[in-house]
Amino acid sequence: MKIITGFLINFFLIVGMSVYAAESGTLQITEPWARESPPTMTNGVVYMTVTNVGSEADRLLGGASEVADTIELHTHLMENNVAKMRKVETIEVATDQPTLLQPGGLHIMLIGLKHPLIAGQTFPLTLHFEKAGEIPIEVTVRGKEADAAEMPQGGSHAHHHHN
Amino acid sequence: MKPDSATGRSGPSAPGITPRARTLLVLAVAILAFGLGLWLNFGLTPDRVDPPAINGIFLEPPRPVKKFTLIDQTGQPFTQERWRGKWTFLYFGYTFCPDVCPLTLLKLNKMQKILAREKLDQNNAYLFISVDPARDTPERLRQYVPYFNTKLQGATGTPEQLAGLAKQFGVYYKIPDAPEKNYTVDHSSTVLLIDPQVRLRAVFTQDQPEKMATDFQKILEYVAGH
Repeated sequence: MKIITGFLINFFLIVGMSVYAAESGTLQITEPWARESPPTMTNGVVYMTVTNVGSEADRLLGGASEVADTIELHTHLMENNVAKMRKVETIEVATDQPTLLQPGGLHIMLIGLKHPLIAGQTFPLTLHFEKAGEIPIEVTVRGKEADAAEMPQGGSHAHHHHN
Repeated sequence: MKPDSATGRSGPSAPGITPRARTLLVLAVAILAFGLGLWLNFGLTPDRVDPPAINGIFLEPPRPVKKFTLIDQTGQPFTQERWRGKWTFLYFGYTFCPDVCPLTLLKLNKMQKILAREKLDQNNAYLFISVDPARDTPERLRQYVPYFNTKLQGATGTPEQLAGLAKQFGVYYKIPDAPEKNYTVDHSSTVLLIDPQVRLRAVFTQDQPEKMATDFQKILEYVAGH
């Protein structure tokens, strides 16, 4: 019975997620989420997985959302244990593997939040791709516990290490 | 290079020693050497324990912290004496940092919970030092740090005070020369550990909560064994 319940919960979670997942032609956006704003924080950060099921690479150029003044694409470099956040003009979306926007790596920055992001809420974000055009998505805000729970499996830095 | 003559001198037919006596002699020497080795290894250094291997750098001997003054989240002076008598986990960052600082502070929070569960947290402090005093006032820190963990405290200082402290810890950070409105700050992502005698004891380069907790436990065991 527990197993069946587990399956059902998983099933509904997946179905639930697909509500937030967006698809436009060749691109699938899954699990877009933002970190809840710590007090005083006026910037936000959005993570997601972009899967390109098409035959040619695409590029994320930027986005727009009513919750922030401007939106930038950023990457995160770790050099000799020094964290460096850098603006990037585009994020390559290759076809051979999913493009991961995740803590400690590539991410979308919401600059100048108009109000703090609160766990459980969602907000609209329109992504702008070079070939796929505009893809509107709904971003879920996750609280710190959910965020922390993500981390162990994340191994986030590893993807960007070039040691 | 004369194998024949060599064999002739040391062969089994050497005069005066029977093969059996020779075997016994070799055995006796081997046992003696083994015993001597054991004695050298354990007898001379009975209490020696190797410094713990951690994910990062363990300082042996620990490096005493030089005097410094900062300002804490309540506006009070913060000196190295606040670190006396407890273990302090230290992280340098800034509150406008949207990605890596919250990530590390949440990991520290998780580590603190692991240590609390293992009953290794009674004598620990956790400190976030902002290297961005132009934007991070004590009041801002006071609002920011408790979100991550109720034991987490905040401090900052003048650019000169911060530069001096960072220098003695080998911590790097760089405020842009011509900062834009939403500037970011490059900074070391390491977590530092100060011991109860106010000495730098370890630098964690790996911020996974489970690994840091295990490393801290190893350090406590090592220190207790001395």
